Order: sequence, then C-alpha cells, then structure tokens
Amino acid sequence: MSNNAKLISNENFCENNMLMKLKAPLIASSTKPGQFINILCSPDNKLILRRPISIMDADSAKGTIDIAYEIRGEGTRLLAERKAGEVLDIMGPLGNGFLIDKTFKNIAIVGGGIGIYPLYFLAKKYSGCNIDVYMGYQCAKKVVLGDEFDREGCRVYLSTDDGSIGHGGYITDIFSKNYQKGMYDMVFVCGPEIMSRKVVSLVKNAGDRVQVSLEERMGCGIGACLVCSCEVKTAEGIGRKTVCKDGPVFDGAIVFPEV
Amino acid sequence: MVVNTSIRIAGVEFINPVIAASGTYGFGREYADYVDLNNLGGISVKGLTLQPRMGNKTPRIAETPSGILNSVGLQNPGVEAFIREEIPYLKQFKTKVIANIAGNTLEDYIEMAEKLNGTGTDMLEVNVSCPNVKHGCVTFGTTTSGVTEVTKAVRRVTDIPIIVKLTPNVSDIASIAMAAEDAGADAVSLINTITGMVIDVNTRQPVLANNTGGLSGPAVRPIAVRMVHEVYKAVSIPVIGMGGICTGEDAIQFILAGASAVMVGTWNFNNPCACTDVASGIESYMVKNGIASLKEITGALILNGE
Repeated sequence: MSNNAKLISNENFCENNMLMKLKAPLIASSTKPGQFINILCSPDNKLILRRPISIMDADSAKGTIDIAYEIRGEGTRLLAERKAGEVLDIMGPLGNGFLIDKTFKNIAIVGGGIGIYPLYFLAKKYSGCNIDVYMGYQCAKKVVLGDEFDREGCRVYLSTDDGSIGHGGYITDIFSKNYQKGMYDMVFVCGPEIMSRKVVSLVKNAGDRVQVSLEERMGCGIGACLVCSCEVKTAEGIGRKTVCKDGPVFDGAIVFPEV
Repeated sequence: MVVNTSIRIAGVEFINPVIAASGTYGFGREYADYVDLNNLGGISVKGLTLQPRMGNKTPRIAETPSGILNSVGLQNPGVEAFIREEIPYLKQFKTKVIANIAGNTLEDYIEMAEKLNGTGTDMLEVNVSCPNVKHGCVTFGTTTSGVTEVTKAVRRVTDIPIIVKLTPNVSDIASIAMAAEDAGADAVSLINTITGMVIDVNTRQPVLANNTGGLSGPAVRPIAVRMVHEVYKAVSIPVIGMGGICTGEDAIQFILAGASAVMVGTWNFNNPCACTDVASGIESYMVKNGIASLKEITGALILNGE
C-alpha cells in the first residue's frame, strides 16, 4: 500500500548512517521483521526510483516505525536531508519477512554492517528464546545496537574488520568456530553476500535450517519489473525469484544454488 | 462538460487511452493492491517468449539523470504459462489485454501468435525492439525487411489485431513504421528504450551486468514525442506513443504529436498509480479545454512557421 508517513526524526546513528523514525500506524501494526518500505527520497521527484529500506523496529502502540540506513548514493544522501515534520511518500510493508516460530528455543542471528538493522526487530519478536547474535562491523565507529540486543537478553558476539573493537576479522570466523550441528533451531542471516553465502553454506550443509535476507537493486518493489531477480533451486533445476516480493527473506535451502 | 476518454484501435475499445507499458507492469496483478485494473485502458504484459526465460544477470537497473537504464533480458514464464495462469486473471477486468511477444526466431513469433489465438487476448504487441537480448527481437526491428517479415508472418496466422512495437535505435523510424503498416500491422507503438551505458568510474566497469541497457523515463520524452510525430505523418494506422510519460500533460504532448493512445512505463515505479493518474490528467485537460473526444486533438499539433 502507498502511504504518506510523517517524519518524526532523522538523526545520526553511527558514522555515515542515519536513524529515521516515521509515523506510519498501518505499517507499524502489520509489519513483520525482514520486510521493507520503498521510499521516495526526494519530495520533488529528483530521483525516479524509490529506495528500499528494511524496517528496524515497529511500535504498534505508538504507530511508529524505525529505519536505519547508510548514506551510500544520491538517494540516501537526499533522504538524510529530510527533516522532522516533513511527509514522506512510502510504500509498505513490502516483501516476505523472516519466519516467526514460537516453538523455537535456540536461534542464531548473523548480521553484517547495515544488514544487522532488520535483525534487531527479529530479535525482539523472539524475546524469550535463547538468541546468539553475531554482528560484524567495519570498525568501532559503526558499531550500534549492541546494548539493545543485550537488553533483549541476547548473547552478543562482535567483530570488526579492523579489530578496533571485538574480534579482529570477520564475524563468520566466530560463527564458524561456535556453530555445531543441531545447536540452533534456525539461523537468520542478513548482510554482505559473501558473509551470507558462507553462513548459509555452513548451516545448510550441516543439515540445519537457515533463512537469509538478500539485497538487490530494485525497480518497482512489488514484483512487476523483475529487476531484482535472484537464482533459486527449483524442482526443475534453477529458477528465478524476485527479491522484492518473493523475498527479501528466503529459505537457505533454495538460495545460492551452487553452495 | 462531459468528455469521452474512450478510444478505439483496430476495433478494440479502450475505456481510456492509457495502457500500462510492457515490462513495467508485470501481468497486472502485481499492481492490483494499488490500482483498480478496471480503470486502466489496457495492459501490455511482460514480454513473452516461446519458452520460459531466465533473463540477464543482476544488477539489471541503474538510475540516470531523469531516467533509468534497465537490462532485464525478457525474463518471463513463457507464453503457455501466460495463457494458463495470467489471461484468466486479467479477463476479470474491463482493461484490454495486450500480449507482448518477443521471438528469437521468425518461427517463435508465428508459434506464439498461433497459441494466443482464441485465448481472449485483445491485441498482440509484436516486440521487435527489446535491446537486451542477444538473438532475434531487435535484430528484426532495425530493418524494414525484418519488420516486414515478422509482421507478415504473424498476420498470416492470426486475426487478433497487431501492434508492432518499434525501436528508436534506427536512423529512420518512419520507414520502419511504414514497413509494418504495409505488412498488415493494425497499429504501431513507440518508442521502446534507447540503448545506453553507465560506467562506475571506480571499478571501470559498466553498472549493469549486461554492460548495456535500455534508457527510459522523462529523459527520453522529447525524442519519443519527435519520433511519434514523424511516424504519425508517415502512416495512416493508429500510433501508440510512449516514452517518459508521468502526467496527463505529458500524454497530451504525445496525442498532439499524433498518438491515438499512450503507454506509461517507468513512472509506475515512482508512482504505482501513474497509469490512472495520467488518465485523470488527460480528462482534466479535456474538460479545461473543451475537448469532447480525443480524436479532436490527435495530431492537432500546430508547427511553428506553418
């Protein structure tokens, strides 16, 4: 659905990243972790395409949603300039989110960089579960959400590429060391493709369940233009699905057909 | 005043002159949460091929100044899946169903047209203009002989009215349109996208995995309007105009240049209600200017110095 959402705040989150709060009651009450909104970044249509950004948190009582984004190109740069009180044209919630299964007792959440943001909303939905959070960032200046995951009762493992805080190296190093077959009812992954591939391959090949959220450049955001297509395993061999509508969350058993 | 926005092309009645452009609207159902499909003149569905196609590698899209560059490469479930799964859905609505067919070979076009006979398809849009596939398609559309050959072959096997969709990547689009008309086309639609490239200067590689793609959006609109006018002057069959239409007034430019109907493509990504918004915009223009029927202003352009 297309909506106008009032911008409540748009502030610095960590280096080069912004945290935005929007008043969007319909989305707040219906969205699931892993879904996204598709935003017109500029009020004067300076850019044609909307920019898809995952929902990081939703408060149905207050009717608000939070999104966090990295300033990466023209779209996110224009979005960062938007001020409280302005009205944003957004579509959402879009896509398929992560599985929420109340019978799960132990889950792992593996995120890299901005991929960690939607996983916070997921951790909140799994409140009461034993949750191991593996979060990898570039450097200490980009590390966010550690305290929030702590507050949700998660066990947090942290890595930075440059070693400025936590384990020096990739988060997949820690995950690979800790992970044992049967340890988790589900592993949830979101982040750079190289990280996601590694985790999906490890967990899938051990015979455990894994869900992964994929990222791709999008056009329409609703499954019509087929711009954000990804390869999946099908009964006939290899097929294609849309990241925006069939995903962005997929069962690890079907994505990355070659791993 | 009461205005009549309906139009007729080759005996097919459209409730308004706005048709969703192929490749931007899926099979219509994707937009059904946003738009009442009964309020659309027509839908030209995602380009169909004889066999299902996987399309090109990603990234398939890049934003450019006032436009987008895409290279989907005709990903589609194949004409049989379309007939089985999509036509019954689309026929629930008043909108007209246009099947866009793209062949690797002449035989592909023939076989697809034959399969679509008797399926309720209102019109065929013969796609000889997709710039993003290696075989067939645009290789037919860049010569008068290729267009003649495909149009004649399709005409021979079907009574469904035929639109030939033209590529702007030619030196004389009017002669291509005339070839389509002479070969039995009932209408022509233009323009398909203009071939382009965007380079990432840091990696020195094209942004699109396919290296090149088709440019669309407001950036191409003046080129499209000029080409529609050239074609309108050259043929007597109806012309369907498209290229960067975002508003009713944009559409009126095409109609004044000679278009009997318009297609809206890229702007659906910006505004999922773009097609119906353009239709309302056309109606407002008609009311404001006292135009009872679109026929009055089709091709009513007043050139300077004439």
